[in-house]
Amino acid sequence: MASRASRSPTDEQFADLVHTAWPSLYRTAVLLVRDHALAEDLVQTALAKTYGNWSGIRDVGAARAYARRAVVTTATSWFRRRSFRGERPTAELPEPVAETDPRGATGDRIDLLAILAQLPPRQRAVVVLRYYDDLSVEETADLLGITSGTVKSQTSAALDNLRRLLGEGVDLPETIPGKPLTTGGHHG
Amino acid sequence: MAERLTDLLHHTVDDLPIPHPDATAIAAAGRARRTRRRVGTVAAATAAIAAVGIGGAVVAGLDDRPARNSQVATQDPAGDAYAELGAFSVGEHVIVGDATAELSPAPHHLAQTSVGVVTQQFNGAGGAGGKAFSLVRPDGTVTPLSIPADAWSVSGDPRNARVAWLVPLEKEGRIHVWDVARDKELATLQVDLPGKIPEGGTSGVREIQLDGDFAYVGTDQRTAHRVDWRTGEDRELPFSPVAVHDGVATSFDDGGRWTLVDAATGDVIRDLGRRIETTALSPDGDHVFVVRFDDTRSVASIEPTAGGTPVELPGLTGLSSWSLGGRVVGQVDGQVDGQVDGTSTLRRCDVDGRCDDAPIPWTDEENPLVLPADYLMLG
Repeated sequence: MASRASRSPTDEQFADLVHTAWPSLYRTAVLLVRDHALAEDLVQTALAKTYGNWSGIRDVGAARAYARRAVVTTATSWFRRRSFRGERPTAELPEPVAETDPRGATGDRIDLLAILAQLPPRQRAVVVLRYYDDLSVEETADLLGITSGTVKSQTSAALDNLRRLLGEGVDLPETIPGKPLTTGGHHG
Repeated sequence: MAERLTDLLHHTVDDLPIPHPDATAIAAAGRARRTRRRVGTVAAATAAIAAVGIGGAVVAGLDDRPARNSQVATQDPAGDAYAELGAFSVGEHVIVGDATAELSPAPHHLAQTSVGVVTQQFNGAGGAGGKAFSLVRPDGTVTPLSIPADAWSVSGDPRNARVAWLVPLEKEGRIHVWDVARDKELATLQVDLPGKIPEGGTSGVREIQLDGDFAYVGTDQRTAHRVDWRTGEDRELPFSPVAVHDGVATSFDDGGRWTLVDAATGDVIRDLGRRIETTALSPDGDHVFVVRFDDTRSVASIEPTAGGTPVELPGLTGLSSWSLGGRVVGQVDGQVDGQVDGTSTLRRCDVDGRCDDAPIPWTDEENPLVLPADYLMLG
């Protein structure tokens, strides 16, 4: 049985978690929110939440997973509160404009952060979790608190949008209606 | 040559300069969150952060609000409507966000989860049969669930697609946790519940509460348990929880005194006092809706869990519940201000006391009342 974490982490335990998890969480956060300072705030908030809920975490090893979940759910919460202040969602993505040319101003490097920022938050989250963090459909569903079917449909929609936004420059996974999506990770 | 999406994602961020985290400041902010939830104030939390903010990194936006405006907007209108508008039913009409589904017979209990509302209906005439459960999603689709008939009442987890229920047995209880999105059981656990259960029927058993990895069960014989449903670890609690959200619990003692409690430790966060008709915790555990008895009337208010000035919500009664997004939703008391017949008006109020009213088209003589989601009947 997994060992139970104490009510509060020791300074050493928490510092270890922060220093080992920070780089990965920060990169995930950048992909989610684009803005580096906001990403930093996001990871700090997620880790503070992890500390605050330490007594509810099964073991020290689970804290890292908890922190990643907190990054995504906190980002979602931020987006939602913004929408609550009167910003209504749009039904369709805008057409790509010059400022979001996938190759950017220099024409030699794809500005993926700008492209991702044009995706709805949930589509962006599933792309990041599946193709960057290498989570399975089921793991992504569990982390986002949605169904596997929704993950698949959101992934499919996200890839369609990315295909349109990125053009032919990127090799995107195939999506076949009604069939499971292939896993996106390159780590196996 | 075309780049793979995964490679492109890694190329985009793997070489980014990584800012140096200040673990001490983050830990202090985490402690401040705990303090704020227990006995402190927002001011105390800010002071705690400031006291340790000496390192190279700046800790900002730790009150769970974005420090800067994000550049994105959600495109899940149904889910947003559910979070913002909440869920309730009137007779056979079940309203989830801005969608309405019709269920017959009328459901008698609604449990909010992250993916929609689990409804419970009596099957067969007069409720003689088993109970039927369905998931009503924010887009209005209804999916029957195969939750077995011995689930006499389910409790939802507002942050996950899960419900739980307790089957009371002789001196023990069986906890079930069910994934409502995939319609399958996740866990079954046996818990010792001293005493003859049920004593006087299932009404003697407090409703189970599901909060993330933990299920909370108890009896009116003053035994209560916190069970990690993933591992089976069971710990007896020094208090009897009524509701638990995000690690915060409400509880009341034999003398009728209500308290807010740290669900993990049993530490009292704050005393809510006596002469309380009912309470309801917000899904994030940061606020509590309280209906107090005044000398002549009931007064509904929202109070920060950590303490502070209550925000009165005129017109709302104990027949109210929280939306997932943090608004209290309830039917306006028909006697409000002594003049308005508000029985067909629904009021939604945020934690700052800003309220919106909307008509309820389905109330009539046969169905005069709104059934709020997560409405808890205390046995």
